[in-house]
Amino acid sequence: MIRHRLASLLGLSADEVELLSTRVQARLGRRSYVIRLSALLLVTTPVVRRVVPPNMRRRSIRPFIYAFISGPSENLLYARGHPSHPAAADD
Amino acid sequence: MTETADTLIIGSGISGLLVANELVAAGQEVMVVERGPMRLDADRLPPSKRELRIASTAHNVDPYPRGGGNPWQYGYAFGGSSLLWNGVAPRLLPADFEMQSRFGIWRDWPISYDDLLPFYRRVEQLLQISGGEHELFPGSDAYPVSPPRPSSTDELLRPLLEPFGPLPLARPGIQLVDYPPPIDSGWDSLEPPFTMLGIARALSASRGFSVRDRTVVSRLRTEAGRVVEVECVTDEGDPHRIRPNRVVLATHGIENAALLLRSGMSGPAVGKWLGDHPHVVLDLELDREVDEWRADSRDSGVSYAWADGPWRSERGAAVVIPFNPGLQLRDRIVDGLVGGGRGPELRRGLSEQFRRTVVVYVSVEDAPREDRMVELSSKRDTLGLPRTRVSYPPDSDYAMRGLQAVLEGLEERLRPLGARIVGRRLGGRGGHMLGTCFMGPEGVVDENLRHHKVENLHVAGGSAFPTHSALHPTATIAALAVRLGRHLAAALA
Repeated sequence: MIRHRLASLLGLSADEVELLSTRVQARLGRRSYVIRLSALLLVTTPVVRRVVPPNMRRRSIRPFIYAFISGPSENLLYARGHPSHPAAADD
Repeated sequence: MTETADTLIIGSGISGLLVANELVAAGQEVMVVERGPMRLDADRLPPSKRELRIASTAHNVDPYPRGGGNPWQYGYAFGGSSLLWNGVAPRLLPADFEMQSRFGIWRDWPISYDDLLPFYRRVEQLLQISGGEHELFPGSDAYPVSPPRPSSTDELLRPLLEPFGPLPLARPGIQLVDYPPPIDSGWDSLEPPFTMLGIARALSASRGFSVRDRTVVSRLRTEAGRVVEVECVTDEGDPHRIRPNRVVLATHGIENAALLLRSGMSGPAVGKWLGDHPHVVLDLELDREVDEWRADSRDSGVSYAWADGPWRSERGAAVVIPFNPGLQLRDRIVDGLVGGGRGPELRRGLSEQFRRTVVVYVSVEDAPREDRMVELSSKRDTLGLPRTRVSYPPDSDYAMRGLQAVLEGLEERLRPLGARIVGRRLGGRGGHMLGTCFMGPEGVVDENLRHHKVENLHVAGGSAFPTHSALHPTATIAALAVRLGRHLAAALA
C-alpha cells in the first residue's frame, strides 16, 4: 500500500519502486526508510500542502528523494527507465 | 624511542609510494611514515569508510577567517588521497610548463614536458591509465589501456568542440562494467579508480620496505643544512624519533608546507602560492531531445577548445568535460513535489528535461597568487601539534576571464544544437593543493625537488608545481615522483 502510493506520487511502476526501495532499505535500514517515506507521503497530501509552508515541506521531502535517487543509476532509471527493465526506452 | 632509516618518506600517497617503489626496485631501503593505519585492503571498502578516524588522522586544516574558505579534500590514510580521488589523469600540456617564455606571465617550470615524458609513460603503465594518442600531447601513443568508448554525449558534442579527445582515466575497472553500474550492487561502486594499495601490497612484501603507521611527523630537526632527526608523535601521543640519511616529504600540498613551517623552515616561498582549480558545472539546454544515452564511464571525453592559445597572457585556460550521467534530477523532483507536481506528469516533464540537457564540467586555470597561503594556527590538534590555517581569497580575474570565454564560446560553438546555458553551479573543488613549495630558483626546491637549503631533503607532490594549468595534476604528480625516485636511486647506486 505504502509503496503503491509512492509509485503513484513519482510516476513509477510497481517494479521500479520495488527495485529502488530494496536498495534504499539496504542502505538506510528499514526504520529510517519508513520514517523518511512516511514523511514524504504525509507532506505531499493536498491537505498538508495547503497548511504547511514550502520550505518546511521541502525539509521532509528531500531526505527520502536524496536517498531514493542517490546516484547515476537511479537517476537514469527515473529519467529513462532502467536498461534491464521492461519499461526502459530502447537505446 | 629512536631508530634510524636510510631514506625516510613522509606520507604514503601517490607521491610517497611511487618514490618508494623506485627506490625499493633499485635495492634501496625505505621507511614510510604515515598518519593513518596500514590497512592494505582499504580499497575494498566504500570510499566513505577508507579513512579511519583516529587521533593521528584528524584533519588539521582550518580556513583563515579573513581569507576565505575552500573545502580542502585529502585523505589521511595509507594510500593517501589515492583512496578518494576520481581517477582523472591527463598529462599537462607542453605550454603549461612555459608560461613565462610563451606568454610572458608568472614563471617557467625548470623542467619541460619532454623532460617528464618518459615518466608520464611509466606512470601510465603503473596506474593503468586509459587514453589515446592526441596531437596536443607529444608521445601519447603508448597508453597501456584503451579508452572507453565515446559516450553518446561525447559523440554529440565532439564535432563542435574540437580539439576533443578521450579523457585519460585511471579507472582500470571500467572495461568490465557497463555504466551506469547496477543499482542493486549494494553500494556505489562506481568504476573504482586506481588506488596505490596494489603497489603498497607488493611493496609490503619487499625487502627493504618498512612502515611506521599511525605516526605523525611533528617537525624536522636540521643541523648544518641537513635533516638530522625527524621528531614524531604516535597516535597514542608517544614521542618517536627517527634519524634518517635523507628525507622525502610527500604528504599533500598543505601539510608539506605546514611541516616545513613547524620545523622553522620558513622562507619567502614556503606555504605561499597555494593553488586549486575552480570547477564549474554547466547545464546546457538543447533545442531537441536526445534519445540515445550510452556511456562506459562517468566521464570519457574532453574538449581542449579552450586549453591553450596566445590569449593565455590575458585569461586562464580551461578544459570542458561532458558529464555522462546527465542532468541530475533529484533536486528537480523535490522542487516538483514541493510545487504540487506528481505522478506520470511530473516524471514525463523531468524526463523531457533530461533528454534535452547536456551537462559539462569546466576546469579553469587560475593565476598563482602569493596571498593564497598556508600558515600555522595558534590552535593545537589533539596530539598537541599546531593546526594549519589557510588563506584562500576568491578566484582571480584571470580565471574569471577564462571562464567567461568558455561560457560565451560554448553557446557559440553549440549554436547548431540550439544550446543555451540554463544552469551553472560550483563543481567539486579542494582536491588539488598545488604550489606551496614550488620548484625553481625563487621557490623552495630545485629541478630535482631538492630543498635549496637542506641538502638531504626533497619535497614531492603538487607542492612543487610552479604553475597550475587547467588540467588535473595527478598524473604529473605521479611522474614527478617516479622521476625523483629514479634520481635518488641513481645517486645512491
